[in-house]
Amino acid sequence: MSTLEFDELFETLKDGVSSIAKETVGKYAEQATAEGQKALKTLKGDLKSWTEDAKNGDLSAADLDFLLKGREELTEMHALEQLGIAKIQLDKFKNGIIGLIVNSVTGLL
Amino acid sequence: MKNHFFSVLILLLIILSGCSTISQFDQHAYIQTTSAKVDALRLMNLATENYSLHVVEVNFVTTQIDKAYEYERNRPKNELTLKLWDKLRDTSGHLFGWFIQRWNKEEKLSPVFIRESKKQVSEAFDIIAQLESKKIKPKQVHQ
Repeated sequence: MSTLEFDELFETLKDGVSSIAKETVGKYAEQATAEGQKALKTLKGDLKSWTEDAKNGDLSAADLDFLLKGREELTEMHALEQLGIAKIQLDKFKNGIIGLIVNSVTGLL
Repeated sequence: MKNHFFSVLILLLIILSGCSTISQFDQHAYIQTTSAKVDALRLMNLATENYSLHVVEVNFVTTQIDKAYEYERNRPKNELTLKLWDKLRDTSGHLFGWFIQRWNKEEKLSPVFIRESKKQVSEAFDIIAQLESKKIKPKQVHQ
């Protein structure tokens, strides 16, 4: 698949995201379109290589479905990781305060 | 006045020390995760062949993963890591658990699909290992 063909396919997908957003989420369509297109942009590299593989018969429609859903789950895992990192930072902050208090108090004794 | 000041500080220390939000770093958990990753990716390479030829290897690796999961399940304040393992193991999801289910169901999988799926499973293990490695080390904690 040439770059031009893939770019055309990608534009079709972007338009598709916009149409689905309008049909399904109504007044939030603008926000949903932006989120959907952001997700598509993240996927662009994988999508290009998977499309090529599918065209060559190396990936089936079921394979593509599996890989796209796998990517979605990885996105959720990255979000959980970020939440975990935020909790670690909070604990480090609390730990720093405890250290400060202990050092200050022992300095006074 | 001085006594009151110390009382407040001690109270603050008790409050802060008792409320960590996430488990501390655990070397054993980290080693189990990275070791399971190597075993899982090696096993996935075999999926070009009939599942029935590799039942022993599948059982070995899934048992390793089950052991790691059980260890994680019993660590306090470890819900986030457990959720990550749930996603990786889920047989109705689309990562390692479902890969094994699909291999079992379809007998063989295509090399290109295996290659792409391995990238995703590898990334999933890395997320778990990286979160663990960022946790506070026990020696860094003021008791």
